[in-house]
Amino acid sequence: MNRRIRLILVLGGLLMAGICVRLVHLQLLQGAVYARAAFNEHFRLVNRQPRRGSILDREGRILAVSLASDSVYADPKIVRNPDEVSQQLSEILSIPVETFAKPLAQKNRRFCWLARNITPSQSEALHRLKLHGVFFRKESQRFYPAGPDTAGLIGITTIDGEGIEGIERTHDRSLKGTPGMELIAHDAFARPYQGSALILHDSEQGSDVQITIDLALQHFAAEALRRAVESEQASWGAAVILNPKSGDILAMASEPSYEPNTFESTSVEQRRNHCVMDLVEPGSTFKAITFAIALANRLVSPEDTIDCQGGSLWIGNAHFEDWKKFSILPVRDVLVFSSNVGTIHIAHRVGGLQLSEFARQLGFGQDVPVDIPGTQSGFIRGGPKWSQTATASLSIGYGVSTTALQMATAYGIFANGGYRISPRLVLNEPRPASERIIEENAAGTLRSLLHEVVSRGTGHLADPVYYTAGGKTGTSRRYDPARGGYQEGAITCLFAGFAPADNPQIALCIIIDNPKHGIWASQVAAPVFKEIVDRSLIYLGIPSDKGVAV
Amino acid sequence: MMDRRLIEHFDWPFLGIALLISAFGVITIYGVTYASPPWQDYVKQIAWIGIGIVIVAAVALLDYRLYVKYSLIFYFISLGALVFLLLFGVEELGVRRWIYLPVIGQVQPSEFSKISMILVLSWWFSRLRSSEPGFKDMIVPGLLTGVTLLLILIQPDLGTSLVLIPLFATYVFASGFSFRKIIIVSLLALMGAGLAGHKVLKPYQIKRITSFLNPEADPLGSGYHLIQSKIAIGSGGMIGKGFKEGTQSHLNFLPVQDTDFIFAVWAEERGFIGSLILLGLYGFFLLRAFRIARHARDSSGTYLCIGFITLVFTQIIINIGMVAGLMPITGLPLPFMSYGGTACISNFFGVGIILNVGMRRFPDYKS
Repeated sequence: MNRRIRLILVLGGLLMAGICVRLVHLQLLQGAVYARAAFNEHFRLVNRQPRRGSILDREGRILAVSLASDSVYADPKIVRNPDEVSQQLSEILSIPVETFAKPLAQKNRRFCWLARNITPSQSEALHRLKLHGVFFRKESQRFYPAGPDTAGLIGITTIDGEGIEGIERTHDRSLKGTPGMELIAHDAFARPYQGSALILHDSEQGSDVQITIDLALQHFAAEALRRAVESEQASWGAAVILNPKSGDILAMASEPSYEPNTFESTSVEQRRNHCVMDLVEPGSTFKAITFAIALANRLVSPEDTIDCQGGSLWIGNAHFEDWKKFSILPVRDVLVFSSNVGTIHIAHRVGGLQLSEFARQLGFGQDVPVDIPGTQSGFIRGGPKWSQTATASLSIGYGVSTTALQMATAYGIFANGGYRISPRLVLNEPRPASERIIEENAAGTLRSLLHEVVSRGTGHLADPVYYTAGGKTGTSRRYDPARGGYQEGAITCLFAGFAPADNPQIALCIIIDNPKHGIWASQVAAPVFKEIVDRSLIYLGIPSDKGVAV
Repeated sequence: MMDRRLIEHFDWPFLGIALLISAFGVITIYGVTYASPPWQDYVKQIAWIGIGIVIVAAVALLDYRLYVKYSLIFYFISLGALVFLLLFGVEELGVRRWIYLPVIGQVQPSEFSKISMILVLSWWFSRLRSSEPGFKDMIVPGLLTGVTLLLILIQPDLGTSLVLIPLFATYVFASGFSFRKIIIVSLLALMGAGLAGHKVLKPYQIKRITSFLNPEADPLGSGYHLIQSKIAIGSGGMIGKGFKEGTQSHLNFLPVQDTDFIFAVWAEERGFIGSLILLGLYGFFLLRAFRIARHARDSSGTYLCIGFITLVFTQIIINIGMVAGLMPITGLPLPFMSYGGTACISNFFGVGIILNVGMRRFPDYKS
């Protein structure tokens, strides 16, 4: 028996030696490899998102801001009593109980969001429950105090802080800042180990973006526009206010708008900024451009007369008509009463090529230097060959497409005495050097003609109560891009202008697309202009030039 | 009156090593559980060790031949406990391993089965008088072992049931069966096990074996524990990460750190040197037991020692082997180190028996 026992001893010794060899292999020879594996397993690099910068209006008022918020998540594996927890969550967060019951029942999962960005009182109530397996994460929530008034312009971010529309998108990089990098030890359930964070480099706070918008004017524009779009059941509306001297965009309202603080249910289509993303044919608002070049080139003077041929003109087989049977009109009244025939005669003196080139200088068909996603540059007929018909069409605003912003810019140039302006949206961006493109006298004459349009012509419904104003209506046939042609009976209404008439402080363009009741821009768009001008100028502290003390 | 020589022959270093390893166990259990409840686990373990010492004294008091003489009673009691467990045991996590007793609490009958197996096998083989035992001499011990093994296997507890095979083999080997007979029986047993394996093994047990062969194939599933365990041991390096500094254990990458995977914690925190010290202590412990086995005054004493040596040694090899990735993960505690009351008591019972044999090794001892 002793011999057998000794054999057992030898066998046991060999097995023990085998274990030792294995330990030499694991701990000594492969030690470094496993040490690295251990390191990789429980350390991870984490991006620390800095606070997103705010978006401010020109007075420093907050248009978008990131607020600290709590989000709540669970580790379903360690949640005890999922049904009871779901019930409690549902009561505190006012979310149906099924939302929680299903993810919490998945016992093999280690992570699920329960709710993002809950309110402080909800967070406090949940913290008090001390639910096992329910955790909180500090996040930030974007808040837009002005809500729908600024939504189309400011845009939104995703729940993870990615700017996806508007200024949030175009200035995403500077708003976002630079994420910091931290090395964090965490346990097998990916939960950070307390006090283990090693900061590799600090995060850099996102910088604020201050834009040229004036929140008050934005609100006036949005409110007036909203009322018009709703009462007209229009497809959409756009209102732009510019400072004609600086080119600063003071307001850019787009309707229908949406509630940016709860945007989840909106579509991209609903979030469109109609001021820059939609093109329309300007119709009669473009006559001011025809007049500007004709006056600048001294081809007409306001006192000349033009034969409007009873308001009917055939060029080839194209027929142009006036809304009234005008006979012989002074040049000023061609504009004041918006005669197509009269304008076409003037345009033929100018020439299509000249007119088109001049319109380009005003910005039509040109890229607009503002950082808003989806900004359109529009189209204008060009080329050296111009038929009489083509020239005639252009002079009354067909064969050219424009955004509300482009039209406001053109009228801003008339308003400022003829200097090129470049629309600016971000306050600290440099302005390009100004250069004169319309001779001063011509610009002055045009301004006074446009004032007459408002005071005694087709734009009389745009005449503000407290201020003089200049401007022009435009009612164009609605082009339907889906069908590729004009839509029977549908119109687009524009009003472009400035105020006060003599020393304009603001230039505006209002567009109401596809109104269902009004048939003339003078009824649909002009009153919006009037309301915005009165409220804005009073707000800006501009003295009334109609002898009313304000 | 008690014979003075009983005290003189008491092997204090042997008991001392067992207690030293147990102390290492307590420290390690404290290290992994102090941060999170139930932190009192290490206190419980100290209590179990205290009870273990009492058991050593109690077991040593009576002549070991009495245990051998009444071994069949022990055997049937433990068999009864296994059957009771099978019929009335509460299933937890798919297994039935524990009986809940008033006052004492949770008891694992399979731990006691190991002891009763040793007693009953020692009894049977020490009664063999033939110098060349035949096949028929294997039938009774084979049946006794086989029934216990099956009852534990269907709990299911693959680890504990597997321990019985080397135990039986050691007895057969030590009792002088010819190599030819041993080989024939082994081959027959292997074939039987192969056939039965498919029917008896649970899918997760088969999966453990396959994942052992290729752990990286399913790193988040069955292979996860094995990979984590290897990372923990390997990253300990030469000198270890230090007490309570083991990242893999404290950050919960290691499973059941205070029981089956306690060696990985030890190796991670104490390094290669610490592992060698622990293995050296085990070696010393076993050699000391061998010494007692060789000097036992009768064959039943030798068989008792051999049985416990085999039991402890097999568990050490299987536990460290699985933790170090040399064997499939079967779920077996590391003797004296792992947290667990029943195992602690059965280990100290064994210590008591071996001391008992040692104390009564002088030739003229009369009970």
